[in-house]
Amino acid sequence: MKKDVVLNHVTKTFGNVNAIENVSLQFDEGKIYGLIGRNGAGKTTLLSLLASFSEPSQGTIEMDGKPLFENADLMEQITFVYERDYQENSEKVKEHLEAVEAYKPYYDKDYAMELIKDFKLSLKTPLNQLSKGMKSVLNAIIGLASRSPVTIFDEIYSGMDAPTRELFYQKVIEDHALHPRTMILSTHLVSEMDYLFEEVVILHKGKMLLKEPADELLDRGVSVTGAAEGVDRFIQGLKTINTQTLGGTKSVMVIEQLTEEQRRNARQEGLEIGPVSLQNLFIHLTKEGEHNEEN
Amino acid sequence: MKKINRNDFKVAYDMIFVQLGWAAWMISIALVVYIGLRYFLGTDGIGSGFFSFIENPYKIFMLVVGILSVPSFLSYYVKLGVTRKHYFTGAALSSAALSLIFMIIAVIITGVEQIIAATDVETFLGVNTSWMLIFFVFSLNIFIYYAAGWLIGAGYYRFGGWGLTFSISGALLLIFMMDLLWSGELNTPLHRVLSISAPENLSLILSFGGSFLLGGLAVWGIHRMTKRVRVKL
Repeated sequence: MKKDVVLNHVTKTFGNVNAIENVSLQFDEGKIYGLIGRNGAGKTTLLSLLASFSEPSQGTIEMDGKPLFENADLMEQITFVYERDYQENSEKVKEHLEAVEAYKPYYDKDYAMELIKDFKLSLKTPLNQLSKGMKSVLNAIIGLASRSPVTIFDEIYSGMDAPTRELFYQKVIEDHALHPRTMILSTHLVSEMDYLFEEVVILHKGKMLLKEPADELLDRGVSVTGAAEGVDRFIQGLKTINTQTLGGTKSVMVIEQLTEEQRRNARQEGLEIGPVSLQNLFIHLTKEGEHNEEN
Repeated sequence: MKKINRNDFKVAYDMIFVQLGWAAWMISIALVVYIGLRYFLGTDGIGSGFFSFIENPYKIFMLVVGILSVPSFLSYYVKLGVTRKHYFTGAALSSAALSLIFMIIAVIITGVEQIIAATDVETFLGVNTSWMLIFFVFSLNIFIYYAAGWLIGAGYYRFGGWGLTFSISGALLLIFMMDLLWSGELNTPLHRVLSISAPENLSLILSFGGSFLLGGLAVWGIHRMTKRVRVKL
């Protein structure tokens, strides 16, 4: 079975509002994707479409060449975890995991138990009595231990504290190496997660701004740091974002690929050329998106 | 490797056990209340045995569980990657099974009651009706209450407040029609028409036929409403 997920001109409308508009993209089997977007960009709507929570208003979503929605063979291959309050669910963690096990064909019970130990989750606590952090942990464990060919984590990390998040990222990398599968992680914690992503999809106002391999995306820009005057001279005519000044030192993000000659000039000026962060690119690109739309 | 998979049966099996767990409370409480009433009021005071007594608690239970079915179980299962179709089949099977299991439980308790302290078991079908008939008619009636609740829950989940208006009307109509078809008083308009023009067993066929038609219609409506319904996060 070919487990690429293909979205073709997908639009999802609520009332008169397009939450997702004409999105076409392909999630290739086995890759880790970062889905980035500002609040209200349509990330959760897009992901809940992949999980068959609802149907696209227009367009198609296919896996293995077949429409995903209500296809029993395909739906069980997809696990979508998101921040849930489990308010209505008084099952104990153990019982809930047994239910997950019953309906997820690739669920690994031993791995789940290992994760429960590592994350220190209590098996006996009813779901609606778990703390916010522990609910996030439970979601992470369900996502990881289900070992579904398509695993979607929708901002489940925001309830976790920093050490727990680190542990989760580490588990994602480890388990993905052992059991390669498509993982989609949506986030606004771009700066701490960027190293996880093989490809990045940026959504803005319901539309897809870009889908690129993370390294190529980062090649789009550089940071130029050095004496303020030198930097100012160097960036003339270049497209810049995010200037920071500290004393006589200035650091500017340039959103352009530098030529070899430009790099040589920079070195001669005593300027330091470094990589630009995904976070900064994201901020810049979504601002620019806004700007373009206004025009 | 992939496990053997019939999610609709799995859902049915799971739902039967979860709902039986809830029902255990309801039946126990009803039993305690019944024993208390019999003890204090005697058989004259409460009429005709546990079998008749438990009928209304069963109906109310099924109505409530039916209302919860879509908002609670459909949402739960779709989030686990089960299709709406498999949930639907599972829920229908589990509620039919539950209706029969409830009657088996009622028959057993009534049997024990007859051994300990015999009483006249009288149902709305009359005193001399066959047990087989009583069993199926009661099961069918209880199932219809589940269907009525299911319709209400599905209507609300799918269409919100307006859906509730229509689905409650539908559910009331369903229950009203069932009462009409199976009424013990035998003086409802429909029964009068039937008993004038038809022999008694023909009216039974009509009652069964009408019930299946109504139940089928309700279940079909629920299926239509939930077939592609959006599951709330």
